[in-house]
Amino acid sequence: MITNKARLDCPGAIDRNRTLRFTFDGKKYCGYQGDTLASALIANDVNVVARSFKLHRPRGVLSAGVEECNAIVQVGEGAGREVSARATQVLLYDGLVAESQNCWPSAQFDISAIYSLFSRFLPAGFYLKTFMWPHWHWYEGFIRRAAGLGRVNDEADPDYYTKRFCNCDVLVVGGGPAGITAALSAAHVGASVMLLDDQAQLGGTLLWENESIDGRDAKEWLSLSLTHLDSLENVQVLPHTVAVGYYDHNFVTAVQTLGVHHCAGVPGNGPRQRLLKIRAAQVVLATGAIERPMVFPDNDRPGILLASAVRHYANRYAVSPGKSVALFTNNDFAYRTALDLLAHGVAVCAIIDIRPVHKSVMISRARELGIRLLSGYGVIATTGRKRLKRVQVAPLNDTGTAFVPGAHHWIDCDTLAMSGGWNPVVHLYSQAGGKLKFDTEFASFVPDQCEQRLTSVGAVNGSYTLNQCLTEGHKKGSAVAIAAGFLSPAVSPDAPLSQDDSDSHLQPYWQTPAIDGNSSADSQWVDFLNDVTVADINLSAKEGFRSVEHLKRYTATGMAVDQGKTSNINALAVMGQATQREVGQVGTTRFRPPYLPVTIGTLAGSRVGELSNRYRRLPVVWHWHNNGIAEDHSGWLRPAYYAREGETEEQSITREAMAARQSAALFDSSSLGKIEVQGTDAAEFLNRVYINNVKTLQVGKVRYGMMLNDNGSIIDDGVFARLGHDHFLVTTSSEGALTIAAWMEQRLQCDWRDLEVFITPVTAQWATLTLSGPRSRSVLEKLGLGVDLSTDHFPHMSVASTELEGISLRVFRVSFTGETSYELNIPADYADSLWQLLLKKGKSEGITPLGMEALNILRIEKGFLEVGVETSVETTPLDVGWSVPVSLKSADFIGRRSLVRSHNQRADRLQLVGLRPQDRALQVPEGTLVLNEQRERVGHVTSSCNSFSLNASICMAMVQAGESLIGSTLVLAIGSVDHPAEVSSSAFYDPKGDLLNV
Amino acid sequence: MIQIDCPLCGLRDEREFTWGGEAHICRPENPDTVGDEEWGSYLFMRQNPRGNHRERWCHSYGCNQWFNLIRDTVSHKITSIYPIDQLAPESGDDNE
Repeated sequence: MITNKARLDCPGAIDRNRTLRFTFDGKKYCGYQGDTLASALIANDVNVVARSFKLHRPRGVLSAGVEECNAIVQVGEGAGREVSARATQVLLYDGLVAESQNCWPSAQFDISAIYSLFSRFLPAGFYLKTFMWPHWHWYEGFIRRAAGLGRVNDEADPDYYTKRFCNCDVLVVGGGPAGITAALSAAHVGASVMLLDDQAQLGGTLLWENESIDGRDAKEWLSLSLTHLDSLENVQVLPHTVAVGYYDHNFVTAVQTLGVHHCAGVPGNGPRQRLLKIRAAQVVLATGAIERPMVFPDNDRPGILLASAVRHYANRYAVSPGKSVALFTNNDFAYRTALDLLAHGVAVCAIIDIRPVHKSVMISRARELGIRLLSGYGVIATTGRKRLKRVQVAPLNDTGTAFVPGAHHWIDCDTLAMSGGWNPVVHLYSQAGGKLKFDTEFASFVPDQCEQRLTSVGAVNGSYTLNQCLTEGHKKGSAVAIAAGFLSPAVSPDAPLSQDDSDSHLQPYWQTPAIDGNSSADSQWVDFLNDVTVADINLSAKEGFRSVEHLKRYTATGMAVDQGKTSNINALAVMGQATQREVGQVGTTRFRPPYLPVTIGTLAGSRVGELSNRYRRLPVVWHWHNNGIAEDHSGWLRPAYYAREGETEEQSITREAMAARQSAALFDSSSLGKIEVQGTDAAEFLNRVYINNVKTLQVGKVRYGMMLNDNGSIIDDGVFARLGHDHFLVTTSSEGALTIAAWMEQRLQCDWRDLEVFITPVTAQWATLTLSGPRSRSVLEKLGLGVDLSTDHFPHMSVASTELEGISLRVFRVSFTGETSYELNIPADYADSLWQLLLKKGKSEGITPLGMEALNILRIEKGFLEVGVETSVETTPLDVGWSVPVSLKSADFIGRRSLVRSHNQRADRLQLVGLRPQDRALQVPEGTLVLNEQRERVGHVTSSCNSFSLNASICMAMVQAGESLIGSTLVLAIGSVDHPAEVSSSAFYDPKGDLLNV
Repeated sequence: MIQIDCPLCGLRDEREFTWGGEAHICRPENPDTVGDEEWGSYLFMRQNPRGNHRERWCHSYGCNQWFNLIRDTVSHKITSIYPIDQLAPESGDDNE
């Protein structure tokens, strides 16, 4: 049996035939279909739903919308648990489990509430000032634990998410009366329209205000309008879709919620949310406004709500937050709450209005109904720890700046509905780069001008009456469609009309003056979630943090999960008063995306797990069927080594490296970047980009070269081969494959347009299999390629084009291992067959597949540098022992001029050398610091290995003035131990290169 | 994310393009004869204006062609798109 004590008799928009059970902080409750968690908690008389962030003060529901800053809860269980959800935005479902946050053991009984006893000792900046000695980090852990907001869910998200790109002529953000009329009138002109609303149901205020449009109930107009929109082919209506970011050139991101709640693990369920990336020719912002709280002593007690929220709960959810309600306001608009509550039979004990007596329709109606009206009064105190019990009121003087002494009295009430005016939701407008202006009549910031193609309609403009919203929406909807290129129609329907056209007569009231000479600033809350009071803002002003950016960071106002939706304007106004400035002069911080928190999963979309980082794959698949251990090397998945039963990883790597030195090894180097350079000016072009002389290279020959940028720094290296007079093949590092081709293309298109050259990246088209070792020639000869492979005819640094069973094959005699090596280029589709053929033919020669790890040992033994490992963005060829080709070349090349700049000629530059630790078994981590005798840092280790060929530990290192130190001893600092090491040339193995010419 | 009207492919999203920095940077014709200061200025000194900026873009994931344009660095308004080997239209020269 359902017992919703606070439920009213009126029907509301809930379905009383469908009872939903839910749990909050372990206790069982019931609500109805159509409830939110917040309305259901109110219906069950749950007053305290959360604790504040810093002082752990008990808090109840404040609002009924996205701006909620008190009722922040955790929803769901296990992997699907979501933290910091707004209870006002959680649609109730059967079996929902929710918990309060930032309290223990529960919101009702929170042990940390003891903090509130010390509140006067915890002012703004308290942590920054207090926990300085010896260091903030000593305290950080404790403080972070004390000030958490829910427990982060560290399990993988069981839901899945997706993304969609959208285009439209007119995007309307906000499905209230202004947005709906704008969409209707834009659609009438013929534009394609997308209409988004953050709520599950469109309608905005029409869902809960008692209004009439065109002489009928506004809800009826709403339902007719939505049916009409649904019937139009050029309109897409997207409920439960919140626009979160507004970027350049009318690019808007929105999060569409597809499942009502988590669909975790339920088969057949679609994605939970979809990220929409919308490009719109024109955008209409109909984002509405948020009511702002009044600032008075102890205004944060459970039972004190926004006036519009009280009306919203009563009219839509048929619940009253209390039995005896008082209203505290500075405008006429909030009087509706009193009138609506009376209509529902709820007692309204007083309207406390800070404005002096004046005449208006609303006030007359309140008087007619016999409501006790306290004009020119303010609230000066409240009581009730977990539920409001009484409010104390006092008359203000004529100017409203002080209270009349001795005239205060108490009013019993369990609910106070407050209204301090309205804050337009200008977030997206500001994100779009729009400027805001302070509207003194509405005492708030409204849109002013923006470079982007957007317009705003309705309450976001400060147009609060229903009639203004309808008229603006109707007018601007067709105007933007016409601006998007559509013709004005011959006949336009009339704008819908409402009776509501009343002024709100707002009088700003930013804080409560001192009472009998005593300031109550430290109990007047401005930011509820982060516990920022008027006193904190005054302190900030006093200490010189006057700028709005400083105010925000020093007091943390507006920095909680609600991002200050209810508090920002009040905070700016209080700061203005503390520094004798108008609110408009204080200004606002620029709003940043997202407007509401977005689940990380929504931003990731389908790019999770294996899809989060796509690897490039080698054309040879044999590796993965033969124990090749896959590892990421510059974006490619490559075999690190080939595991064998009974071997450790180290043994496998050593076995592979030994094969290359003693017999033959086969290595998949297909990731090697390959670029074809062709054209009559190909040689001239390459001569300008390589430090080496390219023009003297004969057809059929290969040369090693380096490319620099114009700063003189090495950007890539590799061999280039002359396949024909006007045809070169350039190889790059695996990382450089794409960037170097693009860089060459840019030079040709932008700088050297007179050169006749064509650049074709062919990395993916040609696989590269490398055969290396003293027996490699014997293996290759077995293929019968028809090429004389003897050193006399085909020496080191040669290239030949041939065929294998009708398939093109290029043979390069080059070496990255120091042994006789052949790189075979074959169209990628044939790579796997050639690999297996070579293994079969080479079996008698002891051929062994070789992985990246062994290759790295072989190249370090030779002292061959790897760009990006040995070199940094500053390294020049002079630093790595390549001054000779530079000095021999007379023609200009990119980077040449920079090499003679004084900085690049300094004697103490980091230079590439070898280091041989005296301890021959020492394992040296890459990055180890190199120190001199005085233990000053002089360099670092770039590559290291334990060489079996040399039976020694060897390192390549970049050391200051390294070349001049060859023969001396430096120190490797590993952990707390210093290891002496001798400086040598980096060519450790076969330094003269005799083996290459065998 | 801005949109750029590629001269060959039409209006496309920024994600298809590569930015190439300030346009009309002239590499000294005979680098060997220029002093360190002039060379350094060629390498590093850029206008970095608040307002109209002439810059190079390449439609990398489309036609792969480079072109110049004038973009307002505050509003991202693109006022002119012109070939890579042409001088900037008059309107873009307010930084000179």
